[in-house]
Amino acid sequence: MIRPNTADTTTPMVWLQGVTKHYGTVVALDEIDLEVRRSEFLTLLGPSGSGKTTILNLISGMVGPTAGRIWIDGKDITEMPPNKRGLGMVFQNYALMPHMTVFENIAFPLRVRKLKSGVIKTKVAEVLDLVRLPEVARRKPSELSGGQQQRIAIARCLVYNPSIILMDEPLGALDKKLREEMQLELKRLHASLDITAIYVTHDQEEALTMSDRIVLLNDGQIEQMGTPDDLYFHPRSLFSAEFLGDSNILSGNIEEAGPTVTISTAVGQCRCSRACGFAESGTPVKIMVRPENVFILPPGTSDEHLNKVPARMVDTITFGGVIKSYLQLADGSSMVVQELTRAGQSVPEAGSEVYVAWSSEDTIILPVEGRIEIPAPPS
Amino acid sequence: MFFVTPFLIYMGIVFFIPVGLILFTGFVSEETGQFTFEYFQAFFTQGLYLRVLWTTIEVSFMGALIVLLCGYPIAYYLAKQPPKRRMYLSLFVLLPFYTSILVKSFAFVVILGHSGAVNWLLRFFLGEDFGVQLLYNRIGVMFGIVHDMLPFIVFPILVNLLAQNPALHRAAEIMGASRTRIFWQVTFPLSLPGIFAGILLVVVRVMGQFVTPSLLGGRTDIMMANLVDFHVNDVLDWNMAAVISILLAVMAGVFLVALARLRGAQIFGAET
Repeated sequence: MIRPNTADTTTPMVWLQGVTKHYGTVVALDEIDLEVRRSEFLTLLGPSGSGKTTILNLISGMVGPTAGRIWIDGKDITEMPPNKRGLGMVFQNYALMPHMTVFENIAFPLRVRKLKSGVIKTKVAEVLDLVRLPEVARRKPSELSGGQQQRIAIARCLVYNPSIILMDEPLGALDKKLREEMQLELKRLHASLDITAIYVTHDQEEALTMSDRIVLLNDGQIEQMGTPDDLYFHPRSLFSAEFLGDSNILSGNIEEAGPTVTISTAVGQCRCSRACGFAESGTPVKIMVRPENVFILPPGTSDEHLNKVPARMVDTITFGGVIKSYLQLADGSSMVVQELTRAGQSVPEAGSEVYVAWSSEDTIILPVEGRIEIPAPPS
Repeated sequence: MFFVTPFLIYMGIVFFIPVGLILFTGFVSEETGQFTFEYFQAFFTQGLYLRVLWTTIEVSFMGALIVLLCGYPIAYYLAKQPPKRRMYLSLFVLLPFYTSILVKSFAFVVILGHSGAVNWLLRFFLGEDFGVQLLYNRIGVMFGIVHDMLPFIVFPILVNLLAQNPALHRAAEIMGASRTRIFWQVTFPLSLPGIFAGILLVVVRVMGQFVTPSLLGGRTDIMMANLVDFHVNDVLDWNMAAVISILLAVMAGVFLVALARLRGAQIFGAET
């Protein structure tokens, strides 16, 4: 099953070159430039209507771009019909042929390629082993569970060794536990088969778990592109910060620039010791801190490295392994604190006055609008 | 239950009572008032009646097949159109519904008759002596049936085609299949329930037709329904008319059950 990786590794596997797509007056994609590297697991992440499915449809050839070119493996395939592109695709609702058995479903792309029936039998058996469902070949798809059907859909896609596999929210119809299981399964297959995978999802957790790189889309444009770490720890806009993970956001103005930036907010001064690109004092900004980086301090504790603001406990909810505390700051804005749970842990009562604190290194300064146009730190 | 009561009463009066009367007329002897098979025996011992029975079956199935061959491409084409255009084009498919069967049948004479448009064209191109008999034979009956029955086959198939999951066709296309392969291996097998539903409608309706065969058919194209007409109106043998009606109903029922068996629960079930 494993294809030797002989082709040169510098040409991107897929290249969208200045691609724009209009549906009537609606701009679905606005001059996107996107390179998908060979053998990577790339996730297109974004809210519905952000253009992620449009990108997939453009690559598969289901729709043509309004402007721009699409390249696959160094070849311009903009005008090529979908059945000549040699891609694989896994659909959200599996798209298995209901009138064919599992065997016939998986054999379909092989029959298209006019393989001999002996070869087809071997290949189907091999790929059924690979997705760990060797015994279902004679059944109809409707006799399988959702998770099994999706495995068959993946098998049907792997069986003819496409160089690129497109996946359109393939796990969207599965329940949480099965979805997590399939995420690992897909990662395992991707790692062992040396395939370029382009994966569409609106589930940020799924994107963070599975991807080599994430392309975050917003309103037909690329909001931010990078590794899961990049996007989580170095968001470049409010949209990125809020879309991936939970975030606490405060408004303020730059007071003093320098290696450590001081920001004045309605609830007091905050410091940020991370490079941010804001130099001019007086600039209105947003500051963001992740809930897991905030602590609750009893009154009277002091530490000058920490940003510290008074707060009142509102509510505490335990989510199994983590506990989330909801607090209100002096100006009425809210803050969430997330800690790991320990047995016998004592949490301040609702209504009590406490301090919330976080390190200046965990403080991220973001523009009020738009995004910071500095490259993400190399990873 | 309360709300369907008026309908049940209505059906009782106009459907169940008449059907009961027909059964009574067919199975109860006029002389003795006893249950009897004598009228059925009379039917099955008449060579002419058996020929008519066979003609009815032949015309129904042949008609359904030709209607299918004409209707499937129309349904397929309609399914590919944008919704608005499809709506307008569907009106044309329904056109035969808006025209009286008598008017249509006489229109056929103008078009297909010995000095009709088709034969005139043929003579124009192929010489004076040329002429094809298109009316008052089986061909004429088929013309009439296709015209009458087209909507009954187009719409069940159209509904089926529109309900097919477009992801299946996309999946097949991305896997490399050509349009021809997608049609024969995906679209067509998935549309079988629609085809069977359409054929069922056509066959059952054609079995009961008598105007089209009597106006466009020849002497040998006598259908069971024509026999009923003959016995009710001309010879006043209502027992025989009842027997033929019962046989027609049984034939339709047998055909329906056979089709349902053949396709499992697919015809009326959820699976497409």
